[in-house]
Amino acid sequence: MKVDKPLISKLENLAKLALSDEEKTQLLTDMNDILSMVEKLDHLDTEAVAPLIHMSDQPQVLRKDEIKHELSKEEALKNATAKVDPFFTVPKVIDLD
Amino acid sequence: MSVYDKYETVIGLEVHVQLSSLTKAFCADRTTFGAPPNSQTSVISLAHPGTLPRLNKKQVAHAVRLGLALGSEINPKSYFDRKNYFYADLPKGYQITQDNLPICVGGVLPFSVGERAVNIRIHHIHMEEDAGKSIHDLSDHATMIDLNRAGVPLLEVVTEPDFRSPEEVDIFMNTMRQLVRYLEISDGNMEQGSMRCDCNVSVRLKGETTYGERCEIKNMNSMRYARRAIAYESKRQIDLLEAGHSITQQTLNFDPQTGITTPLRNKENAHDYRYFPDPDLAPVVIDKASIDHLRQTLAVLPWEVTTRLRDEFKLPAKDANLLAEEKEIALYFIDLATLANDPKACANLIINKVRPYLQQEKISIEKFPLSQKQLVAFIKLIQTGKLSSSIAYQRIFPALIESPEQTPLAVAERLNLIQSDDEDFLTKIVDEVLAQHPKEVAAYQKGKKNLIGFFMGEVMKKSRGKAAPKTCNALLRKKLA
Amino acid sequence: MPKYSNLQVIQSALKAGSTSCEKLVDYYLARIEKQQALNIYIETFAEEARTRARALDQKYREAPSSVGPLFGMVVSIKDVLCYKDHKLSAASKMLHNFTASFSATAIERILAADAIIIGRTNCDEFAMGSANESSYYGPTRNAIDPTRVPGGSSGGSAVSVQADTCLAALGSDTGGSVRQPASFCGLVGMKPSYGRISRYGLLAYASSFDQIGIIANSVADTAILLEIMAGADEFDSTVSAEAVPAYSQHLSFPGKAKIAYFGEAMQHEGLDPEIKKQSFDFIEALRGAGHQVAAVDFEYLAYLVPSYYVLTMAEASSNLSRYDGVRYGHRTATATSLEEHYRKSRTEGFGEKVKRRIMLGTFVLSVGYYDAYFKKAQKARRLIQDRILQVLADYDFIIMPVTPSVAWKIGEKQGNPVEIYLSDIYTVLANLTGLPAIAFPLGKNKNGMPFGIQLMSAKFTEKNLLSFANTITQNLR
Repeated sequence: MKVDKPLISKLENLAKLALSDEEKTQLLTDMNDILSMVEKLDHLDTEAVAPLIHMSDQPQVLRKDEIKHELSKEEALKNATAKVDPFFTVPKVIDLD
Repeated sequence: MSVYDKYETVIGLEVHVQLSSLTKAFCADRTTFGAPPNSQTSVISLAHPGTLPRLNKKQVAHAVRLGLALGSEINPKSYFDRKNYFYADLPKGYQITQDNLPICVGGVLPFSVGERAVNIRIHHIHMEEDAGKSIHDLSDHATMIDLNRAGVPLLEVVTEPDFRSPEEVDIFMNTMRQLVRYLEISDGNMEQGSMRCDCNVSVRLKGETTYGERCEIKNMNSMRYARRAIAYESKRQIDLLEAGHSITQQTLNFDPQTGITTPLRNKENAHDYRYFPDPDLAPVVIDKASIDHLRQTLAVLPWEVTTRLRDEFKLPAKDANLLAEEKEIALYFIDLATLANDPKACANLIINKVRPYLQQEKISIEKFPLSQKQLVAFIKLIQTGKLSSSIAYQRIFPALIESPEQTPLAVAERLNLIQSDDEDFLTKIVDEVLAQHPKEVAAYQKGKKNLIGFFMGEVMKKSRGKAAPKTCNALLRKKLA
Repeated sequence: MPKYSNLQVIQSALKAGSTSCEKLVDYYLARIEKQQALNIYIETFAEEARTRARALDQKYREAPSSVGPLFGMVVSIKDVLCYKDHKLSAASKMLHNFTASFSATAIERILAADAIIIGRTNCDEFAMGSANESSYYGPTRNAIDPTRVPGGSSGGSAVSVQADTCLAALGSDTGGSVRQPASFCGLVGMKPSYGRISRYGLLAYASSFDQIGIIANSVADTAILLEIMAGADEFDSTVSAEAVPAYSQHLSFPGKAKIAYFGEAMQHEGLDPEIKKQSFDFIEALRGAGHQVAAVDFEYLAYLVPSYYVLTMAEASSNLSRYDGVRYGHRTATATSLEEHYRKSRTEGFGEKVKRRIMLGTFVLSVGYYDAYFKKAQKARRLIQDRILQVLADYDFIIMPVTPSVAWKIGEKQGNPVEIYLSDIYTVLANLTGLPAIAFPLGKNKNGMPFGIQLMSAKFTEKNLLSFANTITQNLR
């Protein structure tokens, strides 16, 4: 598996990053090195093996439907750099979604 | 035969039901509708660093209830996946959902279109959480984000592509609404957003067995719009195919102003959601005992009620459907009809008087001022001929509402409206009426038999509504013969 | 040598009146002040610690039995742990100005036990790294040789104890981030079983690997801290309901142990010969003390690092999606669209190493690659875990080096990331399998740089692990 510039763009798109050309070049090398290392896994025969999905054996302990631990609006907005009380704001979204 | 008749429209739905629980799916913030923006959040729903989800018991119970009602298989073990994408009202940058192993699989929702029975197969039901709200029209430069709704529990019901018309979709959604209200898992209110659907629409030539390429119309929160959207989309696709083009799979938005569907401008070309099992949530395990308990305590189902009203209480379909619309009304009817032993009369009373009153006063049946005992007495007065039904409905009923502490008999007597079938009293009135209208008597005797209605009206007027119709009628005919 | 080597010594002194919490805090604050060059702390809570110390001293004077088990313990916390109304940066520009609105369950518990938190320590950005060189606030330096790294990602935690600026430190261990710096700094470092301590309030890096870890001078202090923090928590769905033994009361291992080591691990070509020799010497010493130590096959050694990195990068890429500048965190100065806002805020906010891991994590989860990478790694994890459980069915412990080398020079390993990743080979095993592991000092190399050795045991057997570690560290060195 070789990582190329188009793949980097695709990944940037999914991860919402915008790397500089320099960063991209470096990343290309690094990613290819890391993936080579990771491809070691191909040598492992995992045909009949079930993937390990959950680390805990115990089933989910469900939560009672009771109201608790709410934040005030002020506390909720406290850490936001851009806000128009009582909302968080982002640049205008023109997509219809 | 138009070109459109060559095709059939194939529709599948993804219905999102917002659950009526006190708290959200994965945290304990409240879920009340219409609260001031960002007043119902917590560090968890805001996705602060270090926060973790905890699953709401209610959501699981509601999911199982819905599955049982639809005859689905309940998966004793199911788990959650992360659906990764970025949007301003999606705090974690992923939605917790069930992609791989949902809680319910299969099932059927039965309903009728006129006389025709339709069974829509359910593909599966899964649990997930809602996103917050993005408000675009409060400012020119910014979109406002309200996260009250972020994390509210949802059930998504995915159907097989079994629909063949917008009408079927409409009735299905109506039945779904009815069902979730019967089960008391949601108020199914589309205007408020507690129920919405995405419609997957494709077309194919009639007789074809393979499916055409489908397009998804998202976020329909009104069945009026959905019907128009589906109809428009169906035509659009047929036009394309007829012109020799092919259909590209896309996600669409329906604009009710223009009446057309347009592609949603994608922020990313491929929706690669990178689903993977959520490591923060252990699998949901439901044992047989719990499922059995939920099955035994399952609320009565709307189609069971409708069937019972038709078969056991012998109501016509129209009345049965009306009464079954709201569970509380249907159950009220069943109680009343059992007490009064006159289903038809009870149906009439509830449909024509009680229900409109509740709607007018904007109250629910529990707040109705009259007791069932009083209603039974009221019906008996009509049954035993002490009141004509028109007098009872028009005069006694409203008076009774005004004086709910009185019995119907007391009210009727107070208003002097008890019907009389006292022959002497009625004979006197009949004689007076006939004497006053010799022309009509002659006409009647000459053959205009429908004048009996006229005479009846006059007798009723003269008796101030107290004349017992049957007795009057018999007397009149005797005298006119 | 620290002035106070463990809590028992401190509590005796407090009882005798020869010190007070206030005096302790003053002492440690002076130590911090003196060693600013080591860049241990992102922020010291000086005034707050003094006030709290005075209040605790007062409480003690009024009723000596009313104070909690951690009375007299001054700790530092890695800047990935939420502490209400205190800044939390994860050593990243992304969270440079963020204030936590709640405290981690573990933090609440140590405070309820009357510990004093003296400050938040530096670490690798978002806990990703093995040398504490990727912090937005600059590298932390090893107190024994400040030209060298302290290890990572809990480098600040380790040096805070090493440089005697507090008695113990809380860190986080996802692939060795507590044990490796403990080893590089000559300290005890422990990662409990997955699910032993609630992760609520621990900034998530890789959710199925992360655990809060403890760095201290002694196993005894490690044990009491674990005892206080461990146990069920309503906020964490993955925490275990398993009862918490009184670890601090059971520090003596009864009888003799059966210990396994992996020939492949000990003979690994990357392992420093000095470390190898001293590790084998230690094994001999254990045998001499009557314990059984046997070589066991472990054919999956080469797959530990690859599976670890695929899975943790994948989980991290998702866990870091919440850092988007909308509700908190760094926000770019000018953006005219949501897309631009996201891209610029995230690119500006995250350091290079974090961005690399996000990209790789996104890759292994994406359509077309998921099965070959992510699912494959999940299967490898299953094989590894099964094998280790097999070994631990026959043995009480597994003994292994902590790191292939001692601490390297700052700036020495900036080039090839793979080289650094591979240095995690011994530590990732405990995180892949969710098992508890403790690293304790073994020796020093010819340049005086310390290195440790680690023990692993079966899930939720920390009582055995701690008591055995305590027994052998008391008796064997």
